[in-house]
Amino acid sequence: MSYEIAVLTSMSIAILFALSLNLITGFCGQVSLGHAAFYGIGAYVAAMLTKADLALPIALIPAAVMAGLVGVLVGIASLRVRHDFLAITTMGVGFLFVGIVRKQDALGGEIGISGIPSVAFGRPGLLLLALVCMVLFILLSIYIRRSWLGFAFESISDDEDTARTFGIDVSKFKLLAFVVGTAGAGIAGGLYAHHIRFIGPDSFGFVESITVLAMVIVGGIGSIAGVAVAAAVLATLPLWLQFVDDYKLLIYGSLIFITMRFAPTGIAGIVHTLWQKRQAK
Amino acid sequence: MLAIELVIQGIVQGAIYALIALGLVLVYGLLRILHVAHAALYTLGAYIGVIIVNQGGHIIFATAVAMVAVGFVGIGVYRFAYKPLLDKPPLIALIASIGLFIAAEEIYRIIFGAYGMSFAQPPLQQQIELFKGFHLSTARISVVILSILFIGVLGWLAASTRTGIAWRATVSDAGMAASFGVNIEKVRYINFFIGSALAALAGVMVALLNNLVEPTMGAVPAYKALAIIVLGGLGSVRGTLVASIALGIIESFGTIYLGHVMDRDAIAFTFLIIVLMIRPQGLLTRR
Amino acid sequence: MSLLEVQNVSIRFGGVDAVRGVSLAVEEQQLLGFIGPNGAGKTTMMRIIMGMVRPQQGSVEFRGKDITQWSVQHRVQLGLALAQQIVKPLHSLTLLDNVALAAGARHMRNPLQAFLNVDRSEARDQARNLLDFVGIGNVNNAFPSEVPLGFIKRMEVARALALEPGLLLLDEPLAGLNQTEARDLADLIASLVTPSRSVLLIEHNIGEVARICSEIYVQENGQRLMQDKAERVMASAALRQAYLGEHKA
Repeated sequence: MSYEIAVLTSMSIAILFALSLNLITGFCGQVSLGHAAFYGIGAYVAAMLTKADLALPIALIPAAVMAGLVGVLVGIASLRVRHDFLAITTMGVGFLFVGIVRKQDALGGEIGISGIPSVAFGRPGLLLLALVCMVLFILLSIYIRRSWLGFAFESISDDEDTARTFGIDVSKFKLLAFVVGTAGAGIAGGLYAHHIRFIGPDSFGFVESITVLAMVIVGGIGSIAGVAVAAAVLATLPLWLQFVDDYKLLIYGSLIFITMRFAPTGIAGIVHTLWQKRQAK
Repeated sequence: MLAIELVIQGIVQGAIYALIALGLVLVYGLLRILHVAHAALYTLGAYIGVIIVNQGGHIIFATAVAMVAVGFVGIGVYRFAYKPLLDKPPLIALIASIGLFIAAEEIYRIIFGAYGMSFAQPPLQQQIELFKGFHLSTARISVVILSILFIGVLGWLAASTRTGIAWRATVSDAGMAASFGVNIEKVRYINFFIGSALAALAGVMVALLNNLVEPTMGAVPAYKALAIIVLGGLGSVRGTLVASIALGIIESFGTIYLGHVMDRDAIAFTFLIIVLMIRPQGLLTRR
Repeated sequence: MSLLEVQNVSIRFGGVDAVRGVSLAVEEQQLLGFIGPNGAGKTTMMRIIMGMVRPQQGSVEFRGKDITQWSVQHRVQLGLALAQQIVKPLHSLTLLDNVALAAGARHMRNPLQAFLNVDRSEARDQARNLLDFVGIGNVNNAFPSEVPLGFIKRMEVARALALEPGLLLLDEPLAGLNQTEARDLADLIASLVTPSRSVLLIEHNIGEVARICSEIYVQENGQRLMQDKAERVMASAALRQAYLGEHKA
């Protein structure tokens, strides 16, 4: 039973993390190659606070706030640079986070933080908390998609200069996408720290940023259901198959490459095409 | 004295960055693709170099073979990976390239082992006294000389040969170049060949400097080279060279004076972010 | 006071004068034609009025406010709208949603307001009416890549109208259309002027401009040539000189 609980917890956290990036990259069209930094900020903040005897559900709030605040800074950067330049800037933010944390004794330096306390009601309690956060974020995503906010994001993602000619204040909308997306990643990170109970700078490096981007892309950029399915599968695959764990990066790398090369619209795109073919028959 | 040493170290490091980044900027200029997998070719070049030397080959022979072989692999990467993606948004190719790079690192690990490889008898290690009390290994000096040599020859080729002129025409306006009878496809092949060969050269040089080749040795240069071509203004060869040397020097000073706050990579990216916020179009290019 | 007053604007790009000391006025309820040979700086003027570039000299006033330093989105919110020469449809949206997005622009003045508004049916109804009005109601659900250029140009006019502008800027809407299409679209443009809406029509097709506009502004080589009643402009020697000058000399 405890094994299943652990798997489900990993899955919920991964879905939350992937959907938080989907909001920035999928909805609003802003690339981020450094999303793991915000996952890391959330993880460190939450871990430090629960070690100081705060309850996790409460500690998640400052974790989200802190990640969101740094997210605003990156969002401001996104107003200065676009496309390829933005991709590289966000990648830089990821390296900056790891490079700074590595040198802070207060954050455990290279070794990281261990002995992170368990949550009230133990493993099932954590799973419940992760599920609640995940469901809330899914609902938020669905709501945003349907609202005028989602419509505005879509236009910015498509062509921000044209969006301006509709009177849309593109800067404010981009900043909002970064705040909500990075705060979501902060919550996911806080949960992750208490799931693994040990964190270090290398848990939040470039590979993690690419992994979460792979979930968004393999699922289908922008598609809530597609991204959730891809996140669930990619997060749990290594747990099911020891073989996959050994060759995890090879499989991730190949999956990203093959998806881009042969089906850039991802799972959601493939399902959509198949569905249309069925309708046509 | 320390300052001069740091500057020289920075120039050696910068020369290596320049060799790697040059291939990237050539690809970007031609295809508008951020070719992350370029660093996988650099690693491949290093492995080929070490293996040939350890089999008894001379270092110059090994470097030449590595450059030619990797040059052809580079053409293969273009044909197989990028050509079909040219009409897609550039982000698609960037992400595909990252995927390819990660997969390639794992393939090296599976084939060559996780713990890396060294020269049985490392060549070019004798120390030469440059001036009083200051020594530099032959390998370091070769890095700087070879970089200047290759970059100089390339610059001359681009300025004064038919192929070079065709290449520059294609970079500035591919459609126009095609209408003047330039074979764009051929230019792209040459481009990937030269860029990848330079990466292989850089790989062998780094193998000499560190006497170690690892599957993941490309990771940091991959991302740093991206930072460099962005700093250089994406597409400007001169900007890329200036940014390479600047970054090499800033890193060597930074690790001494900022080393307790952040690591070497973080210093590089701090520099990148600061420059981009002040000059979003890069160091040298004008808007 | 005029609805739009551009006064003495100048702009240089890389050492070249694109526009030099130009003044131009559009009145309430007016259809003003804006003509000039290639390279006259017509599109640059439109970009200055819209705020996509800032003039180095001079001022732009709209509805009595000095908007010279305003951003594009604030000018749109004040009542300027634009259909560009090079069509810019949002490719991921249907024609209907392209227009509905503009029709609901007031929901998107700030992110919070956009977040709190969910209902799209009103904007879609409005968009449907506008697409009917511009004559392409039958292809509502097509994507921009699936219809010919003429349809997209009409969609862009509908999209600009959806913003309920006081002044509509049209940049060469007839370019690339055949004679019948151009004539039909020109008739439609003529019908857009209402007591609360003026139109500034930048166009290369002088014949259609002379047919539908009562007043015409002429620019040549980045400078104002004249602004007068259509028949007087068309009869003037200066206009012939501007368009045919190179043949005479």
